[in-house]
Amino acid sequence: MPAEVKDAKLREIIAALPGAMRHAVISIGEEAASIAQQLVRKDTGSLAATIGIDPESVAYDGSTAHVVVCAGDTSGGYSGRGTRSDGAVDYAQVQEFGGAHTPPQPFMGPAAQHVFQTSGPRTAEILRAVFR
Amino acid sequence: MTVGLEDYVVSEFIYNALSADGTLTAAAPGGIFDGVAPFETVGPWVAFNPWVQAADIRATGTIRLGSDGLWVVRGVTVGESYAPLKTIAARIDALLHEAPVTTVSDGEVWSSWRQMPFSMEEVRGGQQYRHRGGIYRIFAKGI
Repeated sequence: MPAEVKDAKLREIIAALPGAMRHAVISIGEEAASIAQQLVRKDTGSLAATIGIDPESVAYDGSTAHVVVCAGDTSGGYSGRGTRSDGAVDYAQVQEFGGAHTPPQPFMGPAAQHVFQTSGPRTAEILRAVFR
Repeated sequence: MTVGLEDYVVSEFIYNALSADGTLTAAAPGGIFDGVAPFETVGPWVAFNPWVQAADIRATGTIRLGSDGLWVVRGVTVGESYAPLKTIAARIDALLHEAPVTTVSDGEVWSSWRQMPFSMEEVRGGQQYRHRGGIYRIFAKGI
């Protein structure tokens, strides 16, 4: 019966949607990270090397998908020396927003702005490919 | 980052709004700075700067309605406590969040609201700094 065929296709789409959304959001996050890596000021390249998506942040709850793009590492606190002895980089925020006496050189915000503007068509393109 | 006429409009709007408030200027004796504060600045101060370059809002064709940008507006203090910034951050928000339509020399600000709060620790040259305020979305129209 035609109704059963449609129902089967709908179930297929519903089953595939979480995976497709995760794929889409990872793709968008990786694009944002790539743009941020291009924009960030590079003296040693240490900060640029830390930019990437947090795989554990990728989520889709049925209505919203999200991913976190990270830069730097403040897990050990702030040293004030930039790259710490343990290799972590703790000056991403200061570079992004500007410090007490240093001008901002934003790289994450502009990257996010770019992907916000392009994520709709990009998501649609990925979903079309999945459900074709 | 390029600077368009709308950036002058927003700068003047923020500076005028903040510098006219006695409570804020008393809490931030170091001054109010459009950009980076000089090294010799003493005491808590206020600094603001565009964060993400404003995007133009267009109507039909090339008709430009204005620009929509994000600005970081924060109090800055030397030391290991955010306490000196409490009044500053509160006054910044009271003055900029949902501010009325405002005319300045080169245009108008049509809307201003806080997109997100802002806090940052900075260590530089053995000195600790604290930053606290907000990131504001400001829609401006140049003349």
